[in-house]
Amino acid sequence: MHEGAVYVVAGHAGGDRLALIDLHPVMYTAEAISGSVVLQFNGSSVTGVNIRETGVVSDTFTVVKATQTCGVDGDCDDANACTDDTCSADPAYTRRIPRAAPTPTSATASKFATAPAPASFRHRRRAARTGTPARWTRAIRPPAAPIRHCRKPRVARPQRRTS
Amino acid sequence: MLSGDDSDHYFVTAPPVGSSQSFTAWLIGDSGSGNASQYAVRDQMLSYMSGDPPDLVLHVGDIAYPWGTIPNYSNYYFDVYADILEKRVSWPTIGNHDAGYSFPDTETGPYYQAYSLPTAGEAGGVASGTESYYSFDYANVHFIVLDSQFSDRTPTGPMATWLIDDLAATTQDWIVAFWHHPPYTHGSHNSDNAEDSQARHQDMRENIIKILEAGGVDLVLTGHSHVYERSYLIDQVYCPACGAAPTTRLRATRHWLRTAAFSTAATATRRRRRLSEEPQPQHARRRGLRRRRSRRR
Repeated sequence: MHEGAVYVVAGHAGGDRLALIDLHPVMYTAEAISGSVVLQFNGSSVTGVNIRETGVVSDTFTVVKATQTCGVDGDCDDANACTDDTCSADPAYTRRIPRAAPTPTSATASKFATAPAPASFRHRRRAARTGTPARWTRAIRPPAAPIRHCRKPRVARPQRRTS
Repeated sequence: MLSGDDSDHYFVTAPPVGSSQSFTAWLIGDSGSGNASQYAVRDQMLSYMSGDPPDLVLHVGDIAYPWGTIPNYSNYYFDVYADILEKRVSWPTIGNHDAGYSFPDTETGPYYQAYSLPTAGEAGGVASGTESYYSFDYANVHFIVLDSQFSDRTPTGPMATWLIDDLAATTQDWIVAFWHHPPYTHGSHNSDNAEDSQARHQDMRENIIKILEAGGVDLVLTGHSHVYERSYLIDQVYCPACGAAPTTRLRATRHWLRTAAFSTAATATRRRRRLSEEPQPQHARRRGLRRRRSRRR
């Protein structure tokens, strides 16, 4: 099961003709300041940092891949927010499994899926009031926590046992 | 031997495919301006890495400005990053500013000369048969490099067909894709404007992203728009004008105010008169337009 991807635009290494219209609705953060991105792959997670030309690290994000796959019965309620999504193809069955308590990480991941707040008007009004900022960020930031990323099971699962 | 033959020039081979070995990759795009910022960006990255360059260099296109000629590549890319490139492997994709002097049909020109890219799956993945798009494996990551500049971006084109096969063939934990034109951007380019970059943003979003997401892509890296933007964890956002509604509405309102509301009978008469007159020189007409616009404000 595919849970999504993170999209990065990094056309800012030359520092030439930098521009920002506004914060695109799918974007968490954006800035028209030159810099580059370092991606650190650590087996089951990847962390990206944006390093400005001044040396300031202005953004850090982490995508974590849960690698656990489930048993035949889909009995994998191990309080891992990802596993119940990857266990069963039957949505009714999935709902019966008590989900793990919502964590900041899953909130970050699901925020866009439920309500991608269009930013333009609010940000434009604020920009008009305060002068256009070089950096646009969501007014309410979710806590800086890794984005959980559910692992797509590679092996086809057998049918769920019916009894 | 083009350069080197000394201990400063070396490269480290890739870790075994599928291994969980940690590594770092440096992501740069639209870099070759030759100005002070380019050098500052490089130096600050090295300072962040304590002087040790990342294991891989991923370039998302527009390697040198204004055009990808041999002197520009030398001066604004290979010279600037010499200390990094002499000991690290770099993987590029072609940008619009690389395109003017390089030709994908014959795979000639400075871009194709500067790089020897896999065409037969030499570095992992399915053979693409072209240097314009390819894939490679590094540790447990499968990197897919696409060409949004030259290649057919339709869902049934050769690149999309190859991409489907390549995604089906990989068993790597991570799938990272990169190319030049971003599917989502409100930077120096607008991905919601179909006239921007001949709808390349839109083509990649509506045709290619669908395939990638179905194949389980984790990270998509692009350039072209001179800005840094980082998304939420998103899925299946293919709409023709994602998030364009407010901007478009605003523009439409402005346009309406400028034309309809202020287009009085007098203006219409003036316009009719002007049309009936002898054609005026271009500069005079432009000046006239400017004067009228300023009067409206």
